[in-house]
Order: sequence, then structure tokens, then C-alpha cells
Amino acid sequence: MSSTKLRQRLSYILTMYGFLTPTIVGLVIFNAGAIIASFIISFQKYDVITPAIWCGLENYRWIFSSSLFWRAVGNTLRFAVGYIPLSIIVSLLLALLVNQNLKGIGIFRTVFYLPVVTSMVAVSLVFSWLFNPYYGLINHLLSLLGIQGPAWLSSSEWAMPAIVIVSVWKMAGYYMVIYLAALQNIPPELYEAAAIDGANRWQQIRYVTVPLISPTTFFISIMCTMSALKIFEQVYVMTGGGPANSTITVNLLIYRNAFEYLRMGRATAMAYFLFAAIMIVTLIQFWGQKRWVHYG
Amino acid sequence: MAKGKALHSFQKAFSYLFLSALGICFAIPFIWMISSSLKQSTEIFVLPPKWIPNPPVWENYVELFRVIPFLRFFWNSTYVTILATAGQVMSCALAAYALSRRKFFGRDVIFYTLLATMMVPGQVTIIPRFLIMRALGWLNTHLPLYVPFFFGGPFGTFMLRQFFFSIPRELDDAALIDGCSQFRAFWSIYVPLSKAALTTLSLFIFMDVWNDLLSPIIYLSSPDKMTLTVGLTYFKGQYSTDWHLLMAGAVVSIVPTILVYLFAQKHFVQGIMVGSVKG
Repeated sequence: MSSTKLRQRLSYILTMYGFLTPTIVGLVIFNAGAIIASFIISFQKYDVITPAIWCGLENYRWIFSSSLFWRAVGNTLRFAVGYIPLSIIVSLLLALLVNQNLKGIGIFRTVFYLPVVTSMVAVSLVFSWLFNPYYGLINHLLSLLGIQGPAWLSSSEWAMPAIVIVSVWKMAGYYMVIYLAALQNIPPELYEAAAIDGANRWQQIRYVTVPLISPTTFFISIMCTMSALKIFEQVYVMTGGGPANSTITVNLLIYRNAFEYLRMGRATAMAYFLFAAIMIVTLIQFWGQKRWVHYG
Repeated sequence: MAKGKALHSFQKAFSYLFLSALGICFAIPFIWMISSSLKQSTEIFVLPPKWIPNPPVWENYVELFRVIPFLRFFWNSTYVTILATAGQVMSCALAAYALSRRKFFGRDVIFYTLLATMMVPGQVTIIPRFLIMRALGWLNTHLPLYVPFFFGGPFGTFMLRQFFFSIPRELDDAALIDGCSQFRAFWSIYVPLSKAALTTLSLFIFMDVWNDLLSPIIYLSSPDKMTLTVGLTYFKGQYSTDWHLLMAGAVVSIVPTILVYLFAQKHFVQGIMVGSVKG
């Protein structure tokens, strides 16, 4: 290689690294560095003020023996079990409905999508008011149907279902848009063929639409799972984990330990537990997809 | 044929009925929020609840700014969001340009490392980030809320890189042969051609930062430094809550994001689609 060519090559590499400098700094400090630091802290007793002390597996031992932590794990799973299927069903239903060539359909799409661009904090606050046991609109509407509504957020039984409802309402529009794109990719000939074979509307959905959009359903279920296991803002604003710890979640516990009790070691150990849990669940989903996802 | 038509219009009516029922379910919280925001504090607690406040108390929206430093919160949110968005779009675009060029030593390693960090939940990195900001003496300032955004991000970089691949390479090859620098090629060819993608990304970052709750609550401590999302939670008292003011505050806080959405709907759909191919 001639020296000018070498110089050109070198200057190309240097220029490219110039473009990448901010990203590399961010990657090293805020991501890779932070991921490693977090792992180290999880083996320490560290309260920010006094120097860190090594404590081996103490933090992890605490996690596995703390009943509060397992309560949080249970609540997080309870949320996930409600949120994931409901989100998928509601968003698919919305997508099927707004995928029709009807006048004014754009307005419906907008209405269903509006909660997505609204902040979770504002949404949670508005729903705290809607869920008010005495003066809230929801219990009023239920009473019109002759149903005595529960105390919702102040009931340890109904607080989590209320949080699930808020979360589904907030995010269904987002998944609807993804489903909508998948539905629009289905060739109309397939429906025509099914109709000729005598399939009614419901059978067309069941045997044509659902299998064809299963890769999208798989993708949405992964996204829903990740966000469900990380649930934080809704509980922080609506219940603060109460009543009687009935809505405390892993992420809320991490926040409390880190920034309220300054137990950085425990908080990072829990964060790593959450990380591992998300990885395992995602791997299981990828493994399980063979059984129900059809790639065209 | 007539039967088919009747069936068709029946189906249409059914669809509209179903759509309207769901539409009402999705719209009620917004309607109720606006209605409550215009009520008197006594009218809030009336049974059965009233849909239309009589008379509408527009003063609630003035009162809001008196009870808490609402204007201050609004300004804090605005400028933090603008700086964070600008920083993130810029750093992601630069990185995306380099990562979409001819292969060079380390290009793919950087790209895949970046993608891998997307898998790691934020809870893992938040504590070291907090400690870094503390070491820098940045706690209780706005710096931690926007400075990290100047150091790239996987989602934006990935999205713009995909977009840059769709720009014909001949364009910049010609410019580079004519002696134009890489930065010129980036700035005067790629940036203008990617306006749509850059807008989409900006909107997504704008929403994320404006609506963020965690960063302000962990980095800030004095009330006058808070952003709008945190400011709203101040209305929710331990024992009693001024619901009418809280609802007015919620309305004001969501107006910017809703306006942005209404003016740029098509960008949102594109952005979600890019996000969904990443998986």
C-alpha cells in the first residue's frame, strides 16, 4: 500500500471516530461502565455518604430471604398477568376496527392513540380521581348499572386491577398502530379465498388474520412483558405501593432502596435480579414462539 | 346482490356502534379531566357527579399558577426538553452517519455493543449514573436531565442509520471526490435529505423527556427546580387533594404533547414502525 493511500485510510478512520466520539463516551461511561459499576456495587454495602464496604453475597442473600421483596415480585407478576393479555386483546380489537374503510375512521384512530402521547403521571393522576370510591366517575357509572363499585386504589384487592386498567388504556393505542401495519400487509385475496370457501367474518379473523399476524403478536408480547416487569410510574403516582404493600413492585422497591433509604448495594442487586428475570422470560418467549408463530 | 348490500350496511352500522362505544371509553378520562378542571372545589364533591360545570370556573387555570410555581415548572420542562432533544438528535445523527459508511476498524463492534445496551433495563444503570452526577456536583441542577442526551443513544442511532442506508451512496461519493469533507457531506447532503426521519426522532425524544418522572425525582431536590410532571404530583396531598386544580394542571401539562402529536401524526406512525423492526 502506498503511503498516500495509507494516510487516506488513516484519516478516514480518524474522521469516523470523530463522528462517533459522543456515542463512544456515552457508551463507555453511561452504559458499559455503569453496567459494570452496578454489578460491583451489588456486592457492597454502600450508602453514598460513608465509604463502600465489601459484603460478598449479603445483598443477594437479603433479596432471597426478604418477604417484602417476594411480595414485590408477586405483585409485579400479578400486574404482568393482567396487563400482557389484555393489552394484546384490546389493541388487536382496536386495530381490526380501525382497519376498515369507513368515513371518519381517522378520528377514532386519533382518539385511541391520544393516551399514548399523554404523560403517565397525568394519566395516573386523572385515574386516581376517576377511581375515587365516593365521588369518582367510575363508581358512579357502575352504580347506574346497579353495581356497587369497589374502593379501587384504597383496597388491597382492587388496587392492582385498577393499575392494570390504567396501563392498558394508556398503551393500547401504541400496539394498535403496530397491529394496524401488520393487518394492512395481509393480501386481500386471502380473505376473498376464505370467503369463497364459506368462511364467515369471525372464521376469517380466526383462521386467516390471527395466524398471519402472529409474528407481530410475538413482538408485541415481548415489548409488553419488558414494560410490565419494569412497571414504576403508575404505582409511584397512584398508590405509592399501598395499600398494605399490595401494589409494591420490584422497580418501586429498587427506587425506594436506592434513593430513599440509600441502600445502593441492595438496590443494584435487585436491579440485576430484574435484569436476569427479563432475560430469562424473553428467552422462554423466543423458545416458545416455534409453537405458535407462523412466519410467511 | 341486494342481500349482500344489506349485510354490508348492517356490518357498517355494527362497526360504528362498536367503535363509538370504545371511543367513548377512551375519551371519557379526557372529558372528565377537562370538566373537573372547570369546577368549583365544592362542585367537585357532588353526587351524582355533574358533567358540565355550572358556571365554568376559568379562574382555576389562573389559581393554578398561584398555588404552585407552575410557570417555573413549565419553563424548566420546556428548556430541559429542548436541550435534551437537540443533543440526542445531533449525537445520534453523527454516529449514524459513521456507522452507515464504508467498513472501518471497530465499526461493527461499536454498532453491536450499542444494540446490546438496548437490552439492559435502565434500573441497572441508574444508580451508577446517579453517582456520576453526584461526583460531578450536578445534583439539584438541570444538567443530569439533558447532558447525558448529548452522548448518543441506541434507538436514535439505529433508526437514523437505517434511514441513511436508503440515501444513494453515489451522492456523497461524488461530493467526496470533488474534495468535500465528510462533515460537509453529512451536513449538506444527509441532514437535509433526512428531515423526515430527524423530525420523527425529535418528536419521540421530546415526548420521552417531557413525560419523564424518574430523572427529575432522583436528581432534583428543591421544588423550584422541578419539571412539570413532578410539579403535578404536588397537588396530590397526603390527606386531601385539590382535584379541580390538579385536573387543570394535568390539562396544561398534556396540551404541548397532544398539539405536537396532532400536527405530526404521520411521523409518529413511521417512528413506531422503525421501532418495531428493531426487534
